Amino acid sequence: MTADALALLLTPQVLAAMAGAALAGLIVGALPGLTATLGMALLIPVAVTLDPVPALAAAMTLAAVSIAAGDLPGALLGIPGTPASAAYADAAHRMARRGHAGRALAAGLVCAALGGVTGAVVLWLGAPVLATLALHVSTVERAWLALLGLSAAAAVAGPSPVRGALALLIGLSLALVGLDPVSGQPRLTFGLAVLSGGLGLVPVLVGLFAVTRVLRQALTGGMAADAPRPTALGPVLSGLCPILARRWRALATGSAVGLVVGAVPGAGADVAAYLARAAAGRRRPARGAADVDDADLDAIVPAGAANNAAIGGALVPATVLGLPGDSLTAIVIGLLMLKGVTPGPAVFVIQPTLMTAVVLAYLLANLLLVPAGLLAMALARPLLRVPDAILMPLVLGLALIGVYAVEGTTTALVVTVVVGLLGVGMEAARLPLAPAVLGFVLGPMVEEAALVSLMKSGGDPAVFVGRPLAAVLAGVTVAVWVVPWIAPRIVRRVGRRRRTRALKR
Amino acid sequence: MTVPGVRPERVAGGMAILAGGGMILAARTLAPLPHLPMGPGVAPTVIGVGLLVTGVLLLVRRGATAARDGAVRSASCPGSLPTSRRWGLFTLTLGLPLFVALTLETFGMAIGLGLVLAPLLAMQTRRPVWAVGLAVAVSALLVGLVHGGLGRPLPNGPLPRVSALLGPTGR
Repeated sequence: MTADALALLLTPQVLAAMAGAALAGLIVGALPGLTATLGMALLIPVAVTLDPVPALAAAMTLAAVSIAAGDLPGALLGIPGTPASAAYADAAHRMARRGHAGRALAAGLVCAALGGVTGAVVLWLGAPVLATLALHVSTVERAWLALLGLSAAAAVAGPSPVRGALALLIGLSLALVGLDPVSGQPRLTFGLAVLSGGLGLVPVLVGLFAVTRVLRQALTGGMAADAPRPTALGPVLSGLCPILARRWRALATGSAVGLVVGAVPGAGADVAAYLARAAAGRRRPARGAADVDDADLDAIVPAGAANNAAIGGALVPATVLGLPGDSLTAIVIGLLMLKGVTPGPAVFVIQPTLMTAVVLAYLLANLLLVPAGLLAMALARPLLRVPDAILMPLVLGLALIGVYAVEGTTTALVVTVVVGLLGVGMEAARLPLAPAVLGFVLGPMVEEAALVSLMKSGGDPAVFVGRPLAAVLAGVTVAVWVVPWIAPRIVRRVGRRRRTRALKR
Repeated sequence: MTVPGVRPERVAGGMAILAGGGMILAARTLAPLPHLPMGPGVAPTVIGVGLLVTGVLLLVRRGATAARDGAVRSASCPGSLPTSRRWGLFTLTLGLPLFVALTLETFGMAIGLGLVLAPLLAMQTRRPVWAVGLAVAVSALLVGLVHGGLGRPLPNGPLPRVSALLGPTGR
């Protein structure tokens, strides 16, 4: 069956479709404002004209490449191309400012490829088992999982959890604008009908990262003393193997977190990336081998792997149960059905060769990531030589047309600029921006899942800890907040006791 | 971007308390639904309380040092614009996109983008002719890519014939 699937896959038509999709994915992922979902949506009219295998292979390639290409503007400009890249764009940009953009991008790229390959292999071998597990996740666990993602985002955002929490709350407040997800009442719309649909993810993402960056550059007078832009990529692949070898645990953790979180309907690559970064934690530096990039690589490796592993995880419920994990997989399901494949428990039994070819296409797409990413980095080199005085107005122009292309309203443009101004205020108050984005993404999910759970239980809050998995997730969420606060105090107290005992002796 | 003598976390704390109070008041105006155990005001109330708590924590926190938290400063450096020009550039960067957003249907995306790009590029590069040329070229390229290449509808403004050449879906 695998041989038949390979024969279906390795044809000039399929490989050409994958190469075209990889190029489109690079453009979509690298341009701030254009999301992987938009790229997939734009692919559908083209995919309809293709045979099933090239169409689905192109979709898999575009999804994998565009998610990974979001790292490029994140590292070079500090503007993440996709919400998932926001989890480690700060770390990658810090490395880039130290002249190590190539290393940050290559590490992210290889980790994304390895995470994606892990996701593809697990999808290939264990889809039915994972799908059964994912079916046991109810709205209660989904609410906790989203809360855990929010908590992790605040915890890893910087040296001050209070500021991380405030940034998170700002994102959650922005998410409240629009209609209440359960009752449909307008909230915080100030009587403006144009705000009924909410602020929109793309205007908020572009506003917070791109417009804030442009406004900050204007305030610092064209030459930001605090945040110089990288002028060279620096080393790319050299020294990468030891870096990844030292972080194999973080890589494995990121892949595992990505797979599991991706498989849960409703939780996407962005949640997975934040959770992976928090779960892997900070590796203790080796004695005598301290590297200035260590802390940043510790963030990039697990989150980069989780990013693409999550797509593999999300494809499990999408193919086996027909449940979309996020908007990206919803489009994949639509494409499968357009091509006469009805996702469901029997899909791997009824059309085994086609489904194996789709999974192998995803595997191949992740292997293509490294050469495609290296090509993108080579093409991005001239960007580094463009001065901020020219680049920043162009980023603003690109942001405006990108937002309009996705949202199609002038309100979205106004929201983008206003949120950009909010971002400048947040930076002035030293609040991190990334938790605000995750708060905006996950806020409605937490609220909807929590309210639906309460409605099902007749208003009994005990439902949130009534199931074993829910109780475990609740404990982990509380621990994310409490442990960083308690642990240093316990360590200090134990140290003091030991010193006292030693003095007594 | 910091004002001497003013601790940014204090300002952020004060703003958070104000926003939290406002959010709780706004939540009280939302009518609870009889058949639902929790109404639409619950989430704003929880977030409002969270804003109040974090605001108070930021206000009462002691010993937070700028060095530890990585202060963002706008120290002038050789080659940067003078302060008045910087604020002018900031106002233009903020105002031009808003102006274009409000007049997009009149001017269209191609002219609108040019109206944003040309003044900003001219002010920063101090080469107006070159800036206008670059703005026109970039606007045409972006509109061509998004409208013609990706097929996304964009307002044409007074350039319907040009847009018709680029793509069939313009408005």
